Amino acid sequence: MGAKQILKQIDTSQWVLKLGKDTFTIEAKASDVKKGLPVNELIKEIDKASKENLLSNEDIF
Amino acid sequence: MKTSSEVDNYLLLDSCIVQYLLNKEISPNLRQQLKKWSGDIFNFAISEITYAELLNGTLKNKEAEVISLLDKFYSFTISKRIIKGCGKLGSVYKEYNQSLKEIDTGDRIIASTAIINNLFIVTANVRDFPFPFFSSIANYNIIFEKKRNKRMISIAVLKPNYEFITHAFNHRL
Repeated sequence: MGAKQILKQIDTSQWVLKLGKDTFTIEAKASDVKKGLPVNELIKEIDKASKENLLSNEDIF
Repeated sequence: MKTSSEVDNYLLLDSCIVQYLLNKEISPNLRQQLKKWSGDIFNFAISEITYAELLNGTLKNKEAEVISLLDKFYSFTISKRIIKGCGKLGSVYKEYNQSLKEIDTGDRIIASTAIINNLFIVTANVRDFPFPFFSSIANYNIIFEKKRNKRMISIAVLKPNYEFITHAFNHRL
C-alpha cells in the first residue's frame, strides 16, 4: 500500500467526537505541531545518524 | 486549493520506529518502506514523549545529537487535551479488557495524540495500540541480519477507529 491509498483512509469530512457533554473536532491543529524537515531531507539526516550508534540500547534483540 | 507539496498530513512514528531508524541493521529497509508510505503526501511526525523515551536509552555524550535529530521531525506538543485523553483512554482500555491496563503512559500519549489530531500511527508494537480502538491499514515485514541470525520485525500503519472509540467513551461505567 502506498501513500495515496493510505490517504484515502482519512475521512475528508471533519470527525466530531462526542464524549458525553464534550464535543471535539478531530483535526491536526497547526498550533500543536512544531515544524520539521520534509521527508527527503529528514531521511538523509536519519541515514547519517543511523551510522553513528547514538543509542546505548542499540542491542535490542 | 492546496497542492500536494503543501503537506499537512502526518504519519506519527511510534518511539520504537525512531529507535529502529537509528539501528544500522534495520534502518535502510525501514527508511525505504516509510518513504513509500509517506509518498509526497505525509510528513513524519513524532510526539514530544519520544524525546523522553529515546533519551532514556542514550549515552550522555550522545544526548545533544539525539535531541538535534529529533528536532528535525515534525513534532506534536503534549497539550492538556492530549494528557486528558491519555488518562481517559487508560480507563476505557481497562474497562474493555483488563490486559490493556498494562499499556504504558507513553504509548497512551501517542495514542491520544493520534486520536485527537486524526493521525496514522506507524509502529512495530501493534499491541500497544489495540484493536478495535485502532485498526491496521498496512503492514510490512522487515527481515535483517543480526549476529549472523536472520530476524524479522513487523511494522504497521494504524488508524483510530472513531466509531468504536466514541462508543467506548460514551458507555463507560
